Amino acid sequence: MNEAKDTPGQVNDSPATSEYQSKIGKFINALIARITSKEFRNQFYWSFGSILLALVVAAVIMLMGGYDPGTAILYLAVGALSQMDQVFWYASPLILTGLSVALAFRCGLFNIGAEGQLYMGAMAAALVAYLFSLPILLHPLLSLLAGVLVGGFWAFVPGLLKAYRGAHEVVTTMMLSYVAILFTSWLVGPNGPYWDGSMVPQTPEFYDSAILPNIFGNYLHFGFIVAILAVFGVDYLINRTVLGYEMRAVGHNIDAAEYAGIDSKKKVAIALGISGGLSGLAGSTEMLGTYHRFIGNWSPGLGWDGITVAVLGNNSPWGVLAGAIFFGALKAGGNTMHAIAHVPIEMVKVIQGLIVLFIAAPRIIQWLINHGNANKEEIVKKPVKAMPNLLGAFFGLASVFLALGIARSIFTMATVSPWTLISALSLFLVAVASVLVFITQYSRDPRCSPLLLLIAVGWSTAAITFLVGSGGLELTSIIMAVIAFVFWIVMYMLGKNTLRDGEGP
Amino acid sequence: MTTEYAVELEDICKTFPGGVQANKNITLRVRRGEVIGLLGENGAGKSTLMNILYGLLKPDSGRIVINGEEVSLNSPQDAIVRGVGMVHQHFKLIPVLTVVENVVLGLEPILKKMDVRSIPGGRTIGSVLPVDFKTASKKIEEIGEENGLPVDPSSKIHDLSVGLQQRVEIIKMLYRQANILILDEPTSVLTPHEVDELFVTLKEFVKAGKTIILITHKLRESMALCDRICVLRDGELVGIVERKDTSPSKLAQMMVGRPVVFTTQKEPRSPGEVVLSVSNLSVLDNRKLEKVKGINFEVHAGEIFGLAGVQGNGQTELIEALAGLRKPTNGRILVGSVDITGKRARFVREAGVSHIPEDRQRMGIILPFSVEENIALGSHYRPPFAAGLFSAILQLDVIRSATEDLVEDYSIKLSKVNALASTLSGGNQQKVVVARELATKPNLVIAAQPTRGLDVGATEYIHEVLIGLRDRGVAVLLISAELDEIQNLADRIGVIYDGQMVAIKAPGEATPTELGLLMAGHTHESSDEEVALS
Amino acid sequence: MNQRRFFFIIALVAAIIIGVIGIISMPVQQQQIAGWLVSITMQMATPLVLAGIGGMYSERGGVVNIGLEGIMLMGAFTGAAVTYYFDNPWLGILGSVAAGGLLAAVHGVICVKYKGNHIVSGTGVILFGTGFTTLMLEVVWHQKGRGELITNTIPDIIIPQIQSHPFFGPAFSVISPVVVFMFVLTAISWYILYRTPFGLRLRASGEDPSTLDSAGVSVEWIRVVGVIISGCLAGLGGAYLSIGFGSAFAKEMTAGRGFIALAAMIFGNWTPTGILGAGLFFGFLDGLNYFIQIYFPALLPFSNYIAMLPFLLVVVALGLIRKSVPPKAIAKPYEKEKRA
Repeated sequence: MNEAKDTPGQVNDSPATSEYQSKIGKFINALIARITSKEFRNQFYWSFGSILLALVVAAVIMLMGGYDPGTAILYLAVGALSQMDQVFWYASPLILTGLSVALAFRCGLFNIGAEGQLYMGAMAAALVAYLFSLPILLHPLLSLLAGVLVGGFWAFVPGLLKAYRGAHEVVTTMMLSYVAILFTSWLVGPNGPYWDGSMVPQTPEFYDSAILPNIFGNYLHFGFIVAILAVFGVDYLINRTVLGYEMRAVGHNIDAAEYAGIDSKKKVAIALGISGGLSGLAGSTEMLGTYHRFIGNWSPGLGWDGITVAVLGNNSPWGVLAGAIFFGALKAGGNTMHAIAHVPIEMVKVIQGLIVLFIAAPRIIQWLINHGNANKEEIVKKPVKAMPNLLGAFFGLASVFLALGIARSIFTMATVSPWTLISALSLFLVAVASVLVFITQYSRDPRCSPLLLLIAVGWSTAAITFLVGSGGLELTSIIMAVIAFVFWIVMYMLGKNTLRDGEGP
Repeated sequence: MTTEYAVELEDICKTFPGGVQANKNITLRVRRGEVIGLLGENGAGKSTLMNILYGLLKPDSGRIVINGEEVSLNSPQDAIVRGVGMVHQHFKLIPVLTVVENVVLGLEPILKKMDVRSIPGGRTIGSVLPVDFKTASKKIEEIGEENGLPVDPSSKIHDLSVGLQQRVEIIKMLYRQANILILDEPTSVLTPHEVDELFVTLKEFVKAGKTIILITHKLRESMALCDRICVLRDGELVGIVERKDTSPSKLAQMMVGRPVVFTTQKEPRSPGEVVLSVSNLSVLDNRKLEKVKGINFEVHAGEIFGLAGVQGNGQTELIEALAGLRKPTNGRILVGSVDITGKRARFVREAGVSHIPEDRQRMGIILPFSVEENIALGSHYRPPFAAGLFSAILQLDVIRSATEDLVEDYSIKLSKVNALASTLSGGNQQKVVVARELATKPNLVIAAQPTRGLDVGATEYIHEVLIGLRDRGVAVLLISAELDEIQNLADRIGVIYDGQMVAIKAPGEATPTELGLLMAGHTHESSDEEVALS
Repeated sequence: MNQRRFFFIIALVAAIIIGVIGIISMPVQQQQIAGWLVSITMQMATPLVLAGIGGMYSERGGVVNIGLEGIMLMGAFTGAAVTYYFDNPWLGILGSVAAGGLLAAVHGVICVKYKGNHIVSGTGVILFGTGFTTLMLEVVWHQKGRGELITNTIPDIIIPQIQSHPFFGPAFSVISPVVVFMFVLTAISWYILYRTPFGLRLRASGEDPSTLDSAGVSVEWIRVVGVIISGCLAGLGGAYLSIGFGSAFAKEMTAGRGFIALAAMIFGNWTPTGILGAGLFFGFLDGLNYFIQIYFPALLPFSNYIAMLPFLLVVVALGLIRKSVPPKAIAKPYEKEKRA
């Protein structure tokens, strides 16, 4: 989908007055053609829609956890926008691991063990950085090189096994990643050769000559520049070189690649090797730029996030860059959210998971878009008829949130009796039914009216059992029950009317 | 149940998600107890129509009436219970399962004393109760005996020959007590002898009162078996004719929409020196069975050598060995003076061999690649397409201009040269493959089923290209399942049977019947041996 | 083929009998150690085998389920939380099975109905499972890292008759019902897979969905059911970790067992008995780690190496010894409306 990037949309046939100008013109034309292309728009809708949907579901979860989703999401956004240095700092290793996974994906391989390659690369870089004293520019370069080579080797082995023995790379890279974590933590632990003698399994601090300097703010170091260079490099490799072309051919259609005389086995091993090298680079830059010593189990799942970033960026280098910065923003914002709204930092992981789940199924978003368009047409054509449907959909959504919120507050009440439990359970059922109401109303499915009745009954059951259980009135439930009932009657009448219309002529 | 018709399809329309309109307002009524032929070219919409009748696809509009009852078919189950059975062109059999498992799939008998499927909810419970494989096997044997289709119920499908597999498919229909039988291109994988046997069986079925719908693109078959023939073209119904009122040439005209010239014009030409020489070549297939057994032949410059044979007699393995995709176990392949035996595909290509592959979507073309990238495939690694240090950088401008030239030369229809190959029609995809393979100026072209699935226009175009190649002194090895194509184009015809070259003839030397017999393995020698043995 | 299998079973039974006889002829203390090792092996194997067989149901139907890790965590958390609230481990098990099934159902619907990429969706399940359970850990117990101790865990089955025996006593006299269920499940799964209509359809949908479709069976339904079963079993495996073998929920307590279960499934060639064997083997290596901690403290510095062993062995075995043959149509969404 992204191959078209480097190839201009239009060919400039007129004799170029200035080679340079025409090149810029070509590039801009290509860029515009790309952004206005249907694939790009769809991709944008999908990514954006997934993020939005994930935030909605995350809000529901926060409600259930007793947090205020409004404040949480607000501070998530504020935190992300106000601390750009942190955002890029978080993003830089993710760019590299994301590129690593994306590159492997382009060759049809799933490098699920980026985490292990990251550890091995980091270990190698750390050893060069603290065992040898070298000149100032050479030291970090050699150190990074060591990281790349060792990380690459750690993936090249499963690549060979995949190519020549048919061992599935998902299993082998994953297993080797556990080996890497255990092995490195032994190396720097009390029984290993590189322990610094402290309470924590870690190496001594690196020589200053090896440290990557900061470029901006308190966090952002040169690793970010390295990552950006890697984006350019991988983009060039994939789209402009023979090797990248052959890797993509193998990834898309291995039979056709073999037929065209491409040695697919070699390409598989090389692709996984390069992928591992990128992960190793990610680990090395983190070592030299952030940690300044190797600590056992140091990575907060950078390799795993790389998978997510690659998925989010649709395996294109520039998409990975955008995805990684987005995740960096989530992390930076997550800290603010944790500090101010007191939502645990794990919420960020939940949001990430939800985004990936929605990205996995672009057809869900497509469904929403299609029905959204249909609803739009409907409103333009016959607003009177469309309104109840849309209101119903909105009601369904609101009902989900309210039901879950109240159920949550009932659960955390001081006095829990069987009656209040029943009340809470019926509210959960209401929430499920409300989701269905949203779906049916949104897609203008006529089957929603019994569901509305169910919701009305559910809300009133909740109110009554709550009254019996705790002796208090639950106003929201009563109001919702009434609204649901009214909606049911309206929908029922409308349904009858449309039936009559249908029979009439 | 008094209607005359077994099946009535009215105004069936079907458009695929890609926008291809496969069926346009087709109305077809099938009388009870008749054999009706559904004739049309590849892609005319025959299979789609029958998949709709079988419940595999849902029509966009139209009515389906089976045995006088209007039905809405949501799944094949709905069609099966109404007595519709179908043998698909690509058999719906699972190779790793046994015959009995394949036959009962979807209609598994439960041990009698445990059968609870009649009570409410029993269906769900029933799906985890033991299947009565014994009774099923017995029933399969009975069906086999009654209809002269013996097969061992406990053997695995992948151990059976293609003919036996088709037998299992027919038993599967009978097991489901189908009385409306749909057969989709049943003869494409059979030898002429097996075809005859199949037709005898089918005639028995008609006598027993079953209705048969035969999908085919072969005129001969429809004329041999059918009472009525319904012709489709481009998703539209051209007409329904009685067999006695028509002739093959009339049918052909209906099929393609204009009079058909059965022969392609070509100048006689004397062949040059030997370009490809194959001696004693033996090749194994994926399952380590010897599929090519010591084959010998030569192809000269400026001739088209046609390789005829029933599918599955070693052609695929032979082609793959010639193209460097499969290592032969024995023998020698020479191109000119270069030994390419067991060499990799890149070496073979550099020796001047081009290969138009049998299955273009699997091998010839990378669908998610753009047309440009597909044009570069195979020579992407060497100048002019690659340059720089170690020829590591792709020259996108060169690739683009080369593509534009080829698109014009071969009149490939596309929106823009960086459109994805998957957006092209089948004919244009094949043109891309042909254009790319011939752009390298080869000495030898291996053309495997080059016109499979193409419409008449594209087919004729490819034929002209092949003849043009021959006239320019290129050696062409043409492998085709269509005997007509081979007879029209080839200067010499080799017949392959069971991995051996049983005969090499000039087109005038042998009639289609003789060739058919050879393809079925009836050589003079073997019949002599049989006589001697008996 | 059948004859070979028959001899294999006979050889296996003979080996077990000889092994047991060999053990009970050893000195008492070594018998006790052996018995303890057998017990720990079974306990460590249980979550692996349950999740592995679960994965088999999903993959035999044609849906890759790399989300087992996330689903197990979900099961472990739900089991602990429900037991904590209601003080009843059986309800906890029910909850964990339901939660696992639910999360798997999401995966199944995304993969089957919306034709999503199985691996991407599975990654999402892992992320969601780890994030959600850690988040909820804080919500439920107001603690970080580890939840409160659960006193009322799944009660063990105690067989007093063999308690005093030096080998059988430590090996089998105190045994969790979940461990027993592991063996029962293997047998049941074998029966379901090879002897029932559902199993036949499941295998068909993993090998060639279009054939199943043309036989009139809904491929989508069969596949989703397979995925849900996988989630239920993985959830149960997780619950065993938090309320059976252990007695609290801890952050990311599965520690990669979901992936080892996947490896066991591939190792066991997607068959129930194979998965049981592979699971027991991995469980043994896992148990060995505990074993040396107690009986060979001198080896403790190398405990990391012993922990590495199962992972390395899988790589070596997959790479050098056996080639596994997955179901043919795995990870391929089935599109009905495709032009043939």
